[in-house]
Amino acid sequence: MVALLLLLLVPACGGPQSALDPAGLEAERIGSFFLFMVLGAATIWALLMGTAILAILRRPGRHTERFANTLIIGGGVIFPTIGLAALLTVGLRSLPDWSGSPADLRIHVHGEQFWWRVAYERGDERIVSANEIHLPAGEPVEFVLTTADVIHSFWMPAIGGKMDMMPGRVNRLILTPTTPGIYRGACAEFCGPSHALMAFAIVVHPPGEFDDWLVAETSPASNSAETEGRRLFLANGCAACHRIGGIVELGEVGPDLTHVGSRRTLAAGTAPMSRQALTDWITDPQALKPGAGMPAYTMLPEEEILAIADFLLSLE
Amino acid sequence: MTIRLRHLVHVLAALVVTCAAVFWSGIISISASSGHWTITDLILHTAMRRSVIFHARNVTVPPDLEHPGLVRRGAAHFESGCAPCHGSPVRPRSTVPQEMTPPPPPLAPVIGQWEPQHLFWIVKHGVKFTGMPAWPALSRDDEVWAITAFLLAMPEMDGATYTALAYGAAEPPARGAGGLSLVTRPPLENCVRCHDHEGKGDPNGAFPRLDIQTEIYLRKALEAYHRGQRASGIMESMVAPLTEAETTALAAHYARKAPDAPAPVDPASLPPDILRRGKEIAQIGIPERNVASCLGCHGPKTGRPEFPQIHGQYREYIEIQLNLFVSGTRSSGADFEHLMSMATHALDPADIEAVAAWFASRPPSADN
Ligand code: HEC
Ligand code: HEC
Ligand code: HEC
Ligand code: HEC
Ligand SMILES: [Cu+2]
Repeated sequence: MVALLLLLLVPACGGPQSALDPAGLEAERIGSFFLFMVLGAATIWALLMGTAILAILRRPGRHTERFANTLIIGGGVIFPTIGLAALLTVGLRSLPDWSGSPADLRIHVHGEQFWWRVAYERGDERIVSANEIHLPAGEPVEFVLTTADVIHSFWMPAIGGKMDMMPGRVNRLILTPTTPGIYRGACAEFCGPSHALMAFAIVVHPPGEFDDWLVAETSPASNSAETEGRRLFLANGCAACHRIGGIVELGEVGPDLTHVGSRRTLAAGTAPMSRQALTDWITDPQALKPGAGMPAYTMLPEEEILAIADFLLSLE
Repeated sequence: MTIRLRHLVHVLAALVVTCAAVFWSGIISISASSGHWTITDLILHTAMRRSVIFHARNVTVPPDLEHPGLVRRGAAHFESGCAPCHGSPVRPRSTVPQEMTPPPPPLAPVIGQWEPQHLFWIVKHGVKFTGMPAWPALSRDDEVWAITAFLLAMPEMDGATYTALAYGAAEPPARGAGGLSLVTRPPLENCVRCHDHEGKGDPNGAFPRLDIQTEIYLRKALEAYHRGQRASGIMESMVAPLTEAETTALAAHYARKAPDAPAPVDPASLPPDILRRGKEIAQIGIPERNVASCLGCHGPKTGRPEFPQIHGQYREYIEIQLNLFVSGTRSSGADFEHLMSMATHALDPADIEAVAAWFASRPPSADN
């Protein structure tokens, strides 16, 4: 019965957000370290239990002092010392050397209640984006982690991590994704009412394709037509908080929307991106995400909200 | 005979019964016509003085009470809100309020007996058991200070100065027109006292410009004052007597006026760092404190007719309104109002000073 129940848990070990299904060098290292620890712990546990059972089964009788001392000193002092020292060595050896950074791509991630400000830095280029992380397979990447308000924690289980974002500090993390694919990351430190809705999609591009993505992300908004949706976006003050490269660059309180239409999720993993989700979001963000820092637009007629949603979807 | 506790109890009981009988019989006259005995007057007035002094002990007096804009704002309200009872430098008290008990005193001779914080407290809270009313909008200390500023200046003020302050661009009423004159005049004549015919407001920032606003914004603002939702002791009493049709007509009147007045503040007169900071807040906001870009809503290329224009508005007025938004005291019940509170609630006093100065230094037709 117990075994059956445990079996049910097995599928949870794979998938886009699993440290047991690694897609990055660091995650692999942590994965094998984890395996080693589990096997080691299982062995020790079996030994201990064996000894205990043996002790119960054996007929009581007198032991020589020598035998008793060997057992106590050997099992209680020498074995743990050697065991722990070995673990420490393995542990210390797997600590990465971050004194210099091998990465020429730096990704600045700034935690906000409850979303992620993202900026890609390569050479002199700095490209502003949000709520999604794109990575090149096989290339080391340096993450520069900061926060705007409270403590958040940046965790991409399949790629490696996690690392806290502390107010007033800059934390670094260097990771090398290996397997192209789409993964999921999340905030791993309780940060307020919508902590559970502070996630993000991770896209690991096959070697070579990342640069194409970066070029696309650098370019201004793809739809420059003077549509009704665009007019309404400007009229209703959305631009006071959201930048759309090439169209309006004023406020920066909320996520950059230059390429929002190509994101996989809406509002940091709150819902899959769709026309319906966008409409619901603009109408009443707090209904989807309590505590979100965006005002509700319940006073706008539905056609206007739909027009804005279509305009945003066209920004790929 | 020794006096026992029992006797005391009897006397006490008799007293209570007599008092109750006098109270219940209705023998005591509450007529205002008979006035107070001198001794009652003395006791009541002393109690009032002691109480005001005690309760105003923690009030901090703002600097700059001589600011001409404050005195003007106070004077214009005084004319319609206080002079009918207390009289003014140009007219005596009207006859009806003089029959109150106690009668409202002429104020010029008594101002010197009070400190500014005491006058503030009296005007804000009123005086119980007399006709002295409390301020209609208790959240608006700034307005009460404007009245206080005027009261402090009044004893030295001559009639001509007072008339200019209280009537502005409007025609002052004929001599002796009495306390009810303001209500019976056409409403626009009243508005003109403070906002001018063209809606230019007051150059010292005592009153906002209206000429830069859309009709829909003006009408919604007047309706918000009328419902008592937008708190202002001054404007709430101005719109109280208006009918719906009058409100609509007044909003249309001021919206028709094309703004021709230039920016109220010459940018060259402002310290460059204030101007730079103000411009930065207006353009990109303060992202690290979640303050949005003002131009995203109040810009020439953004915003709806429901959003007020602030390019070219008076600096003092912008500052007052921003302080109200930040403290959560400005509410209009209008559909888009929460956008403003959400976008600006983290502004601090230095930000407010800078951004108000920058907007006041922009001409109303500025294209960024
Ligand atoms: C006062 C600032 C503010 C205004 C005004 C504002 N937003 Fe937002 N918006 C935000 C913030 C903050 C977030 C992030 C909320 C979160 O995820 O926690 C956000 C998130 C969004 C998102 C999700 C972005 C993503 O990366 O998935 C969209 C889409 C959006 N807003 C559209 C709009 C539209 C359309 C308007 C105008 C009708 C608007 N916003 C007005 C602050 C604002
Ligand atoms: C309805 C009539 C009425 C109106 C309107 C009125 N007051 Fe009074 N006020 C009185 C009366 C009556 C007293 C006398 C209170 C007392 O004797 O304790 C008084 C007392 C005062 C005093 C204290 C004078 C003193 O030393 O005894 C001040 C100051 C004052 N009023 C200011 C104002 C101002 C400023 C306004 C306008 C915002 C105003 N009043 C509006 C009736 C009025
Ligand atoms: C005694 C001076 C005075 C008179 C008379 C007066 N106002 Fe005002 N008005 C003010 C003040 C002071 C304010 C700012 C109030 C605030 O802080 O909310 C104001 C604000 C307004 C506003 C809001 C402006 C904005 O930008 O939000 C409108 C509209 C307005 N007044 C219209 C009128 C009309 C119409 C009349 C005539 C019925 C009138 N006022 C009479 C002093 C006056
Ligand atoms: C998201 C849109 C938005 C943003 C951003 C915004 N405002 Fe507003 N603002 C409004 C709306 C809407 C009102 C009208 C509120 C009402 O109906 O009472 C308003 C009102 C005002 C008023 C009162 C005007 C009057 O005539 O009474 C001032 C002053 C003001 N805003 C200044 C600013 C400043 C300064 C900033 C930038 C720090 C700013 N606003 C940012 C939407 C916005
Ligand atoms: Cu978080």
